[in-house]
Amino acid sequence: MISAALALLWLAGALLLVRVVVGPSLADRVVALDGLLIVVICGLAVNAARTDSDLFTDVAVVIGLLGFLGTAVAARFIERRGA
Amino acid sequence: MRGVGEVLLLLGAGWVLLAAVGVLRFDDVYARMHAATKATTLGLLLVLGGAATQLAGEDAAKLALVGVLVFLTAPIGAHLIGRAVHRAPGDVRIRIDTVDELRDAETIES
Amino acid sequence: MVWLVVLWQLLWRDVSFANIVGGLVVAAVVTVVRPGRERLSAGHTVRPLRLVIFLGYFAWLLVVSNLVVAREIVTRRDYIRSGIVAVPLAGTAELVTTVLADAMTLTPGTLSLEVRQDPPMLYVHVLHVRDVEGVRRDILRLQRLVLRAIGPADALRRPDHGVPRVPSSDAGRRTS
Repeated sequence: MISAALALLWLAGALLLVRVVVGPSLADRVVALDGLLIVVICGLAVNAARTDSDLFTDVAVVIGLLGFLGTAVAARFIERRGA
Repeated sequence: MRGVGEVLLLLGAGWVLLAAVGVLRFDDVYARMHAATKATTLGLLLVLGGAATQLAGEDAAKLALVGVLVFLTAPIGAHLIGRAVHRAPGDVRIRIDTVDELRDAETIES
Repeated sequence: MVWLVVLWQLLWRDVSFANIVGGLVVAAVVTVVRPGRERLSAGHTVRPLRLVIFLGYFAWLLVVSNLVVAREIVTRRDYIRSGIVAVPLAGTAELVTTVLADAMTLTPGTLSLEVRQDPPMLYVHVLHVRDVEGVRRDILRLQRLVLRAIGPADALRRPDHGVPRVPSSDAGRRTS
């Protein structure tokens, strides 16, 4: 079951990556990247459940924090430069 | 407990996949934000819940922290991007089919 | 900002000088990046029971809005008709508006877009608009809940908490 979940997450990541590449605008790419970060956090959580290392959960917290920061900064940037 | 956890993980991953499909399929930036914000949040919460059932107290608490963090900040992020896109459209794809009361208000202002 | 630093300490389970500096840096960046949201606590009271009701409603909305989004994702794009709806706000209390804009993104099919001050209005992008006045009513109901949970006391004394009422006429604009 867990490998199935990971497979789904890989697929989700691939689809979002397509959107990051295709765009067409900066905002689209930022939105897709934000989604990718969530996919990564999910992957970390699944791996944390699978192994016994607590490294994954710490990284997940950091990514959660930084993800929002990045989105907020990107939004400011878009306002100045245009999407 | 293990079974429930694994089901949650699978369900959550599936929901995140649904979100990704939405982001790819929609043809306008606001619609993509709907999918990216709402669906990924729920998917993430399900995955975190599933993973938490398998972990010890401290790790489970950290996952709960991540969940609360994302739950609170993702909507704000979406709002900020939406606002930025509206103020500086550039070459973004926007599609409004029915009312646009924001533009109505803005044309009155200018 | 103080509690951000405390949180940082908890994460690393080690209160050392390097951590305090690191925490201050992170907290400072976060505070700078979120423009104009300081001074949140002026005059707001938290009513625990109402807060719990609001959070429960919130959780319910999260599930419903996801079901709606799921259906929209699998629907043919031509059937989905988007729009931007204006919702009048009850005064300009920062915290209430922020919480509302945050919660609103989780209501089914809506995304908060712009906030204007004069007159105080919230502009909402709706993915699939079926009934414009219905959208306004739903969001005003949410705003009432937020106000009852954490709004300033004087707002609650005003009739209907100062939230404008949308006339519920059947002649409202139906779009599909």
